[in-house]
Amino acid sequence: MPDYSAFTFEPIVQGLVTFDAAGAPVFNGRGVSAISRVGAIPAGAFILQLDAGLPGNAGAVPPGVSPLANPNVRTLITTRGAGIPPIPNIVTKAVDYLLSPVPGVGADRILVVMQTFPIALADPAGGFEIVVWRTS
Amino acid sequence: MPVQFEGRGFLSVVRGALPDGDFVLTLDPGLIGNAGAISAGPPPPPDPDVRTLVLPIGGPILSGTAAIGVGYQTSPLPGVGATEVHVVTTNNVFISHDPKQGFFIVVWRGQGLQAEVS
Repeated sequence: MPDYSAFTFEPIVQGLVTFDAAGAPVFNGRGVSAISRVGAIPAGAFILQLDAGLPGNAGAVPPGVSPLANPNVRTLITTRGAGIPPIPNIVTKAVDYLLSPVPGVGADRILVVMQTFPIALADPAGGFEIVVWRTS
Repeated sequence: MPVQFEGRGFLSVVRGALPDGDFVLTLDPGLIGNAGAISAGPPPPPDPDVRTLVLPIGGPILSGTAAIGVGYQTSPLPGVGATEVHVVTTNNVFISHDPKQGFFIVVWRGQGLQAEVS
C-alpha cells in the first residue's frame, strides 16, 4: 500500500486577481510574475506567467509523461462576487497549462478562462482567488 | 428554511437580504489560532491572502448551483478586518437559490505576501 503521508505537496501559486481602474488584471500574491489578457480578447481570459523566483518552484510545471502538461497539477479558483451581497456572474471556469517552447521546461504559463450566462467570456465581478499546487 | 453551520470557525450563519442562496457567516473569535477576523490588509480589501472554497452538495445528484460569489465584510472597528464571510449561490440565470443539501466551505489564509504584479 502506498505511503500517502510521504507524498509531497508543492505550492506553486497563491493569490488574488483583481482589476485596476482601467480594467486591466492585477495579480496580488506569490508564484506569478506577470498577468495579461489573451491577445485582443477584452474579458474572461487571462495568462499568468509563473514566477521563476519562487522558493521551491522552478517557475514551470514540469513536463509529464502523459499528453497532459502534467497530470499532478491542481488549480483551485474561487470567484469573488461584487457588492453586498456578493452577487456572482461566472458559471464556467477552465484552466490550461501552456508549454514553454524550450524542450524539457514544461508549462511556464497558466491560461484561465471564465464565462457568464448566456455563455460569453466575462471577468468575474469581484476578481478571483487562485491556488495552484503540485502533488507527487 | 433555517440555516445552520456544522464545523469550526464560524460562530453563526444567517440568511442575508436575498430570500435564498445568500448566507452571512460570522467568524468565531474563539477558534484556536484564529482571531475571529480576516486581518486587515492593504488593498484590495480586506486581505488579498484569504482563500475560500465553496462546494455545493447535490441532492440526490445535482445541486442546481451554477455560480458562487464570495465576499468579506469588514468590521466597522478600525483595524479589525473582516469578521464575516458572505456567500451567494445562484442557478445558471443568476437567480439566488439554496444548494439542494447545503455546501461545504473552507476558509484559510495563505502566506503573507502583498507583492503585486501587473
